Amino acid sequence: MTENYESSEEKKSSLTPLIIAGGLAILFFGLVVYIPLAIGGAVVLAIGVFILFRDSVEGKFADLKESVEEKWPLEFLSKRKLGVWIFLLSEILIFGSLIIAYTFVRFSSISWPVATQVHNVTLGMINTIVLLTSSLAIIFAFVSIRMGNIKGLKIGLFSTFGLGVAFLVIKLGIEWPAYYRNGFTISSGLPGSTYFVLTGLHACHVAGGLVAVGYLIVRTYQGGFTKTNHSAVENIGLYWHFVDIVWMFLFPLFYLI
Amino acid sequence: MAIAGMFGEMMRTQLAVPMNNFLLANTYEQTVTLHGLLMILWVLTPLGAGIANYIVPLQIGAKDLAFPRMNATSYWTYLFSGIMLISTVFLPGGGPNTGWTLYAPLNTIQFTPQPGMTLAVLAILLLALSITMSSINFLTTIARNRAKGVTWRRIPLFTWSIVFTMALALFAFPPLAAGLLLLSSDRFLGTVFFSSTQGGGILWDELFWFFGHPEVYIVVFPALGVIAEVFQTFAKKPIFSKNVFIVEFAAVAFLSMGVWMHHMYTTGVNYSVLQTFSFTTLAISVPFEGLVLALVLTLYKGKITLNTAMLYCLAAIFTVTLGGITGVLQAFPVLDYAFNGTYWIVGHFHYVMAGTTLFGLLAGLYYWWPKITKRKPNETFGVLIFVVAFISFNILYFPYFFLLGMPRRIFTYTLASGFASLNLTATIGAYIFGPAAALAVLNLVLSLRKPALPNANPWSAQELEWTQNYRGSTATQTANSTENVVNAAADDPPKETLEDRWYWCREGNCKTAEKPVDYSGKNDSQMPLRRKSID
Amino acid sequence: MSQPIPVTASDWNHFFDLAATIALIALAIVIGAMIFFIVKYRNRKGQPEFIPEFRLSKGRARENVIFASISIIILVSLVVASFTLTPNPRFSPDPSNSLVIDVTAYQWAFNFGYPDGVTTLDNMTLPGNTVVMFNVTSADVMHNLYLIQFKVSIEAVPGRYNIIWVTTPAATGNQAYTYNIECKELCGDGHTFMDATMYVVSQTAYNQWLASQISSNSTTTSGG
Repeated sequence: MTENYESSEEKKSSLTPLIIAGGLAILFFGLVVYIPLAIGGAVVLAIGVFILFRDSVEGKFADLKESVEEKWPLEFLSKRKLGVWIFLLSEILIFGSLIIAYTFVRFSSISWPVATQVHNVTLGMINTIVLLTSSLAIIFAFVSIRMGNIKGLKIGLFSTFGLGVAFLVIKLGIEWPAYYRNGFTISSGLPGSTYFVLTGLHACHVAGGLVAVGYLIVRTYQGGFTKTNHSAVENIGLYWHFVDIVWMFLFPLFYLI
Repeated sequence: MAIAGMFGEMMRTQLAVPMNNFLLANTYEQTVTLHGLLMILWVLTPLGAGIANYIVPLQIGAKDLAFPRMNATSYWTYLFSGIMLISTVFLPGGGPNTGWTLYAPLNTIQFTPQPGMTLAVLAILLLALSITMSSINFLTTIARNRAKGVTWRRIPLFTWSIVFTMALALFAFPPLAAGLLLLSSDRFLGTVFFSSTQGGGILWDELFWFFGHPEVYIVVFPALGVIAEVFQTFAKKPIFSKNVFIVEFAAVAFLSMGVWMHHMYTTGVNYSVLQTFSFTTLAISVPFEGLVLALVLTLYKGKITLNTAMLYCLAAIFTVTLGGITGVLQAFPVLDYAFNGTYWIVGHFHYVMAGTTLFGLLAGLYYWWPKITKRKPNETFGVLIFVVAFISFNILYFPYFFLLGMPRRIFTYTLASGFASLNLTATIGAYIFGPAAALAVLNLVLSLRKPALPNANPWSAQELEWTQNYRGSTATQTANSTENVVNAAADDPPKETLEDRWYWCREGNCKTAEKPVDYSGKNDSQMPLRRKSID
Repeated sequence: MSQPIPVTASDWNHFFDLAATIALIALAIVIGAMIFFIVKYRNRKGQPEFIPEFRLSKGRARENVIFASISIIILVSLVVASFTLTPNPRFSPDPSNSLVIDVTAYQWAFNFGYPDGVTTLDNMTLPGNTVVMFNVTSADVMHNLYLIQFKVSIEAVPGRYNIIWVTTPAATGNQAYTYNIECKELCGDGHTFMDATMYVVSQTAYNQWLASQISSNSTTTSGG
């Protein structure tokens, strides 16, 4: 059966699906029933994700080798990139639904606080620039590896990571505590609820993206990327750009209007 | 599925006689909710996806789905989320008791304080994640992993139905996830989305039904695909008009995203909304009926064998037409003002969802059982069980159409209301239908005791999963031939008729070039969608 | 004594009969065709086993277009006809010319508010032959005011006022008709028993009743 798989070190089945699913389930169950259980679930989930990444870094789990395929009209999209795009489509819909919900409640409300009075537009602007630069950084990383420049790849990835962390620190460490001190909290009414839920979900996606970028960094150091084999950088870059674009919508919707 | 079915039986027991006290208010509402959630989200949707998991790769010539580990993850997530949902009844306060539609503000902490409700919300969220992963997987597989010769036009109809099912799932589940996220944050973090009056019930209605309507088509589409396959094989004819069939399928899928507010006619929306959505709802019935007619016309001038799979498909056509016309009646707002929230609606959706999907997917199991297990199920028992199941199904659900005055989700009724005899009839039907459905599956399982069949294609089916003839063969068959079509020598020049000419992939005729597949990604375009020349 | 069927209900019944007949004819055609094909084209024993070549099917766009056009014409005419019957736009009368009843639904009863501050719980009395406008809202969760014999209903949404109109049938002298009201939206444990009764009496009887309510209200402290 080896000829069915790409690499010689085949692994026909993997435990990561079970671990990841189990971790998620325990996490959710624990959130409702017993918080320490939730922490346990998060740990299991993390272990599962870690094994997934480790397998991938070591090139262990390989895809089935498919025969010559019909691919029209998508010949130019690799399988993984197509998967990422479809995933992004669903993400667009979830953020879109939440943004529409926000619009719905805002227009149903008789009064809504003026954006600039409640939100710190300066910090929001800084965050916007930070995130945009991080997108640029990951493009730089991708272009570098396309040219075979591992050093550029590392610089780009580290910059992306650092800027992403900066985004989260500014938002979670500086901006949000200030809002809470001012009484603008998640339960202080619809403006607070919508703001914190939407930007909070976005922040979770940023954090997830940081985990992915971390994986890229580790894999770079293990020598996993070459001039010709670097699709993961592009795919995760696509996700990162998406996260950035969502912020481009959230920022004006909350901070400016 | 057994648990959800058991819940259904419990509900009918309670409603059998007036003023019954088998299940009292809160417990009954929990049973209703769990029956609905489990059946729609954990049984019917995944049953179609499960059959698809096996059959779709066979039909398109792939060895597995595009992302096998994600496939496994989505299965385990589905299983665990189902266990989570069922476990909610054991928590203090019980499980969710708001009906499967989880209307706001009933679903907030203030009105449904039990943790079981929160856990149920998270379980559904987990299932939404699982289905989204599935849809990414299937769509990528069908788009990319087809064998040579399987062009889009040649893809079998079941796989086409899965294409539309999964595309709809991709678009429908995120709004549900969004609503569930908002609800979770209401319940965990104290936000006020559904307890405020600006958001409240209408916000939930919009989000939920934007998901809910495509969801019911997600449930039904695989069954329609199965019926197409079964009819083609047992009438020994191709589908009446494959192009138009696919276009009608696409039309139904596309329009299904634009009809959701017909679930909200009574919520006091303004007149233009009523007009718009009644037009779109009626618009969707046109291609849908076209689909049904195309299926029926496939039988025209065929050579029809009536076996169990075929009978289930005929039953499914009956239920989808009957359920469909009651749906068309509900599309008129004036009629819906009286239908909405009563047992008429319950009858309608059980006919389309339970009837069509269950019968269709049972037909699929009976039809593909030789492919999956190399054994034929027992026909005599199959037909017998079918007759019992079909008759009892109608005894169970047809009375609902006469219970226009009976609201949904009430746990009992007075003798004076006059509902008693119809309810009792329905309960008798339920007691027969449940075991019949179980027996139908048991019949399949019992066939495993028999020895394997020598003939891998006992139905002489011509579709790709049976013949594995992905490139397209040119074997000529005479009317008296008893050989199965096998992969004839690929260098026979195909007998080209006008309609066939595009579809045989010979040297130089294919759209894709004959090259080894490049996995490194180096030839992918930098701009994610810009077409790069193949060098 | 048989009660008069309200106008909305009889119109509803007529439209339903029309639409259902057309629908049942469609059902009969489809299922009839199916059964006919099954019987006529069944595989009779004794014929040689026929294994067809796999062929893709013809386009047949023309038949489908014809069928679609016929259905569209029928459906569009039906829906346009139905719009004249839909409760809200059918009446849309002037609120000042109709009797306005404020309905507040809560877990688990209906509270009816009349002009002059009179309120009743669980039942309401209305004059015959009057256009009544129900101004419906909810105090807690979503409920649904379902006037069964009138075949109209409207949701009671917290924070919103939804409006529905009916015309009560004429009542004279001592006639009093009883109609049932139920809640059609699951609203908690008491949903099953959340119902109310509507009494339709003659105009004079209604005036007398209203006057007695006002006077008894002025002598009690609770206003409902």
